[in-house]
Amino acid sequence: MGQLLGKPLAKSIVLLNKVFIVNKADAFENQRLFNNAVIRVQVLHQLAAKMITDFEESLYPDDRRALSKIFPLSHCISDSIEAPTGKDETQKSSVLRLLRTSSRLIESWEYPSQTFSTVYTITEKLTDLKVGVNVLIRGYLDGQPSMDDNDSLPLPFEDFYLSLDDGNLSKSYRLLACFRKDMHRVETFLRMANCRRSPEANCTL
Amino acid sequence: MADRFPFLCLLHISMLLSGRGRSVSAFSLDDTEQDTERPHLTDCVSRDLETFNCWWTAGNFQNLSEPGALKLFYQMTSLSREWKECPHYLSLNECHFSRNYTKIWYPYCIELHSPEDNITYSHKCFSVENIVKPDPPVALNWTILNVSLSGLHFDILLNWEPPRSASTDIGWMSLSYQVQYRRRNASQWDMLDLESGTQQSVYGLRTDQEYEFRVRCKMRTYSKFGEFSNTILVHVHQIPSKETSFLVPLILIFGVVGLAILLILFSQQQRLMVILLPPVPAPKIKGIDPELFKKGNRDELNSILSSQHMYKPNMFPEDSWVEFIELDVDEAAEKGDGSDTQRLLGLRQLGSSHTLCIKDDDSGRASCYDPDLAADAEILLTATLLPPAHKDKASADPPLTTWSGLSSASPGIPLQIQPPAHTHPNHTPIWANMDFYAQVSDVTPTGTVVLSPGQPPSSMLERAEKEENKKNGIKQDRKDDYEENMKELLNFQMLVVSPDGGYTTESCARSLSSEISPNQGSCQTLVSPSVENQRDQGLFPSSAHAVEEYQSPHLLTKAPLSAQVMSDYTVVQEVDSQHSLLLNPTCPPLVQQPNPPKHLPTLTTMVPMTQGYLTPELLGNLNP
Repeated sequence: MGQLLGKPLAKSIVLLNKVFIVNKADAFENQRLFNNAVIRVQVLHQLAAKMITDFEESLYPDDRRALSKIFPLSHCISDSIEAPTGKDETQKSSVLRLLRTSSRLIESWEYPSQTFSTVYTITEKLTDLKVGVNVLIRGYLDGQPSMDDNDSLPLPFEDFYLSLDDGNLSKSYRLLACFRKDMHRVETFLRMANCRRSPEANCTL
Repeated sequence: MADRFPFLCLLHISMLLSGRGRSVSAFSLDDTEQDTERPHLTDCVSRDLETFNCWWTAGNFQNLSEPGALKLFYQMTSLSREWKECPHYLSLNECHFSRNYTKIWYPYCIELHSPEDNITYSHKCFSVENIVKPDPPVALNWTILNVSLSGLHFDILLNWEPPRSASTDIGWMSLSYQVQYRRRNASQWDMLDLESGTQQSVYGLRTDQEYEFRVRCKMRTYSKFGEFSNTILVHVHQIPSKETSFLVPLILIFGVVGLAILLILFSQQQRLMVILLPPVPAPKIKGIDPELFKKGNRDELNSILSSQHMYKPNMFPEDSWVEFIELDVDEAAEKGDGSDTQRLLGLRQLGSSHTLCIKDDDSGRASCYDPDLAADAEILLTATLLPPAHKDKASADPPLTTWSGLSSASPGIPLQIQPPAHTHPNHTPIWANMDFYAQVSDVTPTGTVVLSPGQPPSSMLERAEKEENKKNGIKQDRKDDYEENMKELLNFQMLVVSPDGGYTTESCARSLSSEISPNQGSCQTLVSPSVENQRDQGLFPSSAHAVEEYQSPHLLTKAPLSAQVMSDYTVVQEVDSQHSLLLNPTCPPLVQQPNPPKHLPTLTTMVPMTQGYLTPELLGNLNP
């Protein structure tokens, strides 16, 4: 009896150990990728802030006043994408959902970011970040069927802006402000997801 | 609009002057007119990015300061156009938006509205993340990092904790901190750079001095700072350190040592000066008294200095038309028997490829020229060199025509000789057995021989005549200088001068030097009348002993020739294309010229050269 149980038991223990070890290696790699993603989105957020600051400083006082009047920036391309709107909501969202949302937000900016100055190479950074987040998503989808949500695709870039009655200046300002906001969102989502996954992610900073 | 313009300008200027602290968000863009008189919204602030509050004031409108007179309405423009009233009035002038009513990253518009008058007094639009001013950091603390050696300065490490409302532990907000400090009761705060961590090192604080520290924070990439934290005091008492007690005795020791060195320097000044700055020795030549330079005459000086092998008077005239003779050593070695002339002409080797080709390195000289022509040239040249006495033994015509051919030759082209018709190349002229002479004035260590126009006595007479003519203004410039030099040369040069002051042959010279009895009859000396004159005039050194002294060091040379003795006479082998004379010094037969012509022979007149010597003029005339 003992012998009959012994061999398969030993085998299963060995298999479990293997899986455990493999998972640990994967977890370490996953952690590294996550840290990387957070750092990259922080860079993008800082670039976005710099761009809009420079833009505002370059405005004449008259233009500044005019822009303040057309504010609120109620229309952004990413308005149609569902995303958490507060701390509690973000805390309750799963890591996978946060990753997916981030990926969608990033993707929505890949094309419009081409209007930004090429000095900052925003588009390349966005593409790299999207690839990294997708890798993380695939890691989370192992063994689970991917449930693509039925979010409506955002409006095409040109159509969205054509529907607005904006001058060139306000168009640029709106674009910069929307981009900055979305980068802040993605940064918050990824950072919170990272902190939730691993306490050692230095989240008290 | 005009009355509001100055105010707006002031506001914009203040915004510009505030620099980076200025808010970046849309809220910083001045929206509505701010009139302190009227009711208006003063501020809307979020502390934790979850909720926010708005404040307003009624201004000078007393009737509106009652509660309920002014109402706040908000609109979330992206969701609906509906205006909602403040969800919660905290006080008379404050509205609080709780989490349920707060959506981050959504635009809000706030209005101050008086429902009675139905007047909207104020209007603001913003996004919540743009109005965040975080709570101040808490738990400020400091520790000493180190104290300087002198004990006068110290460094501390300041640390704090983020505000709890920021929820940084879950990664909700990321903050940047700014530390400010000042000496107690100072007027201005010094601020350090932004720090994203929760600790900061501060360097260079003075001991026995009280410092105040405070910290504030803001959202990273946003511009609105929160309130300052509590101020903490930092104070370090000065510790009398051991290192200071080392310094004073160290200084004393160094001072004493320095003083001692100075004393030694002053006392031993002279000796030290000699050691450090040795005197420069005066110039001195061994064996020569410097006084001689001041008083002695030139002759003595020359004699002394030349014996030192350091100084040679100007032996080489600077006239360029004195040609250096190149001695072809290999040809001399290869030639076998036969007279010099035969060897010169290579008559025996006419059929073969003779070696009259000059071995050419990169000297640029023409190497080989046509042998037949060359042979002819040599034959004809030597024909011209014949003294008149031998003329009847050879055909008289060739020299004439030859030299005409030569004189018309263009530079750079090897001598193109038109062989006279009646010259038979195969016929060995009788005068081929004769040798021709030129006077050698010097042989340089490399073997080149300096020909001088130094002449048999008859030409010397001519020179004397020319010198007289010079006074009449005939242009003789360089040649006369050369003559002058040559006179001196005769005094000091390597001319083999017999004790009588005449010319002698090489064999005689050999006999003189080696004290072999001269051959009978072959060693005769020419007595040069001019030389005699010069001698009488004292140009020569008075003592024959001195002459022999001159002889001895100069008779032996390093010429690569077989003859160790330099001779006055040498044989012109040939004139190559570059008009240098190739010589073969051998013992020439005696040449006597009792009657020199009165005028200089020139090639054009076709008078053969006197005594077979090639005077410089003739040589010059070779050049077309």
